[in-house]
Amino acid sequence: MSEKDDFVEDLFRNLPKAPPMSELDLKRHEKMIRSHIAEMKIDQAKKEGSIYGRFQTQFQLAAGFLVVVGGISFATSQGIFDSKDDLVISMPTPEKPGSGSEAAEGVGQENSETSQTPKPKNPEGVEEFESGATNQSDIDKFINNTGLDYLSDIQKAKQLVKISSSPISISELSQAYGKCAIELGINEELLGIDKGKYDGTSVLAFYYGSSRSTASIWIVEKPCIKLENL
Amino acid sequence: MTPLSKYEDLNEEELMRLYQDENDLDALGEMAILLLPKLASIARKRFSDKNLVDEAVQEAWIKVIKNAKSFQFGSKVKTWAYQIVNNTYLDLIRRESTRGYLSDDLAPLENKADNSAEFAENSVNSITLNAALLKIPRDQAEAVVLIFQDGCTYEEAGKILDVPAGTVKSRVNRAMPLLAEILRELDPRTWNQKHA
Repeated sequence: MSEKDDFVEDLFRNLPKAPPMSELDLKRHEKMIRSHIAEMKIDQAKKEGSIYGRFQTQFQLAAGFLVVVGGISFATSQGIFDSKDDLVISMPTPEKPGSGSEAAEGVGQENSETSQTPKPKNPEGVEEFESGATNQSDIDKFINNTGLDYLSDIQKAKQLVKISSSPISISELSQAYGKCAIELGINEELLGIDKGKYDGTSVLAFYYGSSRSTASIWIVEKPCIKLENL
Repeated sequence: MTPLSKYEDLNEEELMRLYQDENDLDALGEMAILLLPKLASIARKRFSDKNLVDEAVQEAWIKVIKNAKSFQFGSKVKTWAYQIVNNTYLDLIRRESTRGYLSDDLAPLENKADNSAEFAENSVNSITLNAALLKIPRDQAEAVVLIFQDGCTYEEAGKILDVPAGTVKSRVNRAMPLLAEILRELDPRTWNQKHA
């Protein structure tokens, strides 16, 4: 290095430096890293779950189709459909109380009520479709939106939030909620969810526990960043 | 936020091992968090602008996370992270130069000069130096920055760059006359002051 290059060295050495990063900024980066990792976990879970999910959906469709076809052919063979008018479903007659009556009763109920109660007598297919719809509306009851701040209004929130008396199935929840419940490790004991705030920040409160009386709450920020366990 | 208790006593290498062997993403996150103060400390030596420090740190930890699978045990995780910051720095100043800060951002700097003439001069020097660094070969720029900006020894810089100390020295020796020439063209004022 010649003398005429020394000024370059001096320039480098005298360059202004930014002040040390504050604790607050470091915490912010820490939070961003955790959030980034949470997203990676979700992506990983999606990749692992996608093959199973596709298989499960296709299996359900195929099973449903088979049950419908099987049910119709069974009912036809038992003479339940009136041959003169295919659209009219004939009720089983007292004169023919034999083996076909159970199936006839099942089909008749399904048609007239589109009921929300499972049919234990036909557990192979009909119940599966119906129970999904029933559970979904049940589950929706436990997705709350109080908007309350869990830092200041936790007691009020606990009073207002509707939670299930027994753990709910995460397969009935939206994917984001389900994944977050898995990440929190509470997928087996989830009782309800509330959309609220925590110190002004929009959060989700995951109520969990073995029963209503012993429920705890995880406060998470989207997508699933743990903030507080209450 | 405190470290997840399971990882509390683990160092960067152990966390990296957990991630590579067991695909433990939490361990990866904790490792990036453990590296944060180091990343921030390097970044503040490189930039005078707080926002750029912040951007450099964020970019560095994203790269740490993204490239962790390819980390080869044998070198230290901190040294590897240093390499990442080093690359990030040169990428960032290149990007900044295309954002046009060499011309546009001089105006705010001139305003700051009202408060501190020295600060303004140093800031202009910083911008000019960064511009000059982009005009020399990258390996030389990396060596110069490590030695003169970060204050590394030739041995330390050699470990970070994964070359012998002698190579670092020769890169620096080749870079300095080039930089002096470029700086003279970019900012004759500085050159004239130093050689009046």
